[in-house]
Amino acid sequence: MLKADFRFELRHFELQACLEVFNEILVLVGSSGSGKTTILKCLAGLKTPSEGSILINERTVYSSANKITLPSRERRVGYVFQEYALFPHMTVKKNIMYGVTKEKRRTKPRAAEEMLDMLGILHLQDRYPQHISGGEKQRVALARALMTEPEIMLLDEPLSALDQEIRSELQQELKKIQRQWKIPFVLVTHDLNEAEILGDQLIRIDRGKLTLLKKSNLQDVL
Amino acid sequence: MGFDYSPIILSLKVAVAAVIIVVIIGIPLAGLMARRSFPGKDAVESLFTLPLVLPPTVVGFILLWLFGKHGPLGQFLAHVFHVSVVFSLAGAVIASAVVSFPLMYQSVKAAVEGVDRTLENAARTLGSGEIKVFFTVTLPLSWPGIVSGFILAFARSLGEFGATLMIAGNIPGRTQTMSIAIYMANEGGDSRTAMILVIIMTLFSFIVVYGLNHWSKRQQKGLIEGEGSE
Repeated sequence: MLKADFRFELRHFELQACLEVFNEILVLVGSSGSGKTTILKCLAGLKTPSEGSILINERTVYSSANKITLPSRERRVGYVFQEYALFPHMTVKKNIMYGVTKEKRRTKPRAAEEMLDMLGILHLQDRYPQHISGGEKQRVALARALMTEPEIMLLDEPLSALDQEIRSELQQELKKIQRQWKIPFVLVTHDLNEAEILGDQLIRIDRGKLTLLKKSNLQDVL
Repeated sequence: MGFDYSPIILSLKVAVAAVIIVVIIGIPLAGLMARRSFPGKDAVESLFTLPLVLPPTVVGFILLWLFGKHGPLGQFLAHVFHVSVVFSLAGAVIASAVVSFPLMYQSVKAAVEGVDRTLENAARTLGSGEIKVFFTVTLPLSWPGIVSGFILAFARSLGEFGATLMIAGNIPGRTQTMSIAIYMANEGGDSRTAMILVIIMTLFSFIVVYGLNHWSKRQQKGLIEGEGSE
């Protein structure tokens, strides 16, 4: 699970984030400039909050009190960027193998093919990212992040650049993947409709302030 | 009388050695400077670019002072390694490296600054440390800038005249490089020798620049195709 409570100074306002995510999808919904992406970047270690703490599965990855700030590479966080951020100089296969450790390459040599097959993009493995569609890029970005076996997944507007048809298809797929992997997903979107479809837990963010819109069922159980 | 090819060989030796130095120092430094900011950065950058704007004789004079018998670097080299670079081929290499360094530096730095930082962040979240990020993402994507920096630095080293003459002198067969040999031949009325050297230098430079451009285009095939297709 993911537990985060931190503050971050933005230019015009202060961001106050307090999240608790179990093995479910938390959707942060808000307009652009509301601080959504900053929350993801703080969780991933790409930005450092001014104060607070972040725990991933009981592991402290950030704590201002104990002066702990783990770098991104040690956080085991999967990140799907808004514009996918696929490496343009590598094929799809090389992209998804990028974060795979030598050890895993040896023990699970077929892992890449299996992942590509699961996402239905095995036929694209030798193509370059510039030559595939937006929906395909999205799947590659997802595959690349999942290949590192992350403990949490962060997705920044993963579907906003896609057509409606592929969007609904991928929404279902994202849900399915989350249920399979059973790790916390934090997804950011400006689309309330999409947020309602995807979110087990729903939080609205407005100028750095968070409001709970939908409570997680898992929280009631515990 | 046989034609003396030694200036050509010497020039090539100097240019190759200088470019190797410039690559080893210039690329990591440009990469760092493109991504870091610190107080006094502007001053440091100006210093790096200075050899490009200073007259070669000024650079030569400064180098001569630094590496001369009483200069700080000259004394250091004499005490520790018992060598002197003044009036030697090493001096010519140093002069070439110093004047061509800014070309490599500027070109690589601009290219690194053009690389999308999100791609570097993606690499970090995928478990890469800063060195791996630089070598697997930043550097390959800066490739066109590196190649043009390389070509410019090589050309500048090959043609270095003023600073080289001041620190390495004009010793035929030892430090007389092509540009100096051409000047001397022309001054001495031997326009045949000067002409032959000029033709060789022009042809050679053309082949190097053409070859490198061609090669780098092939290396970049994936990227170039991508840019054209969307």
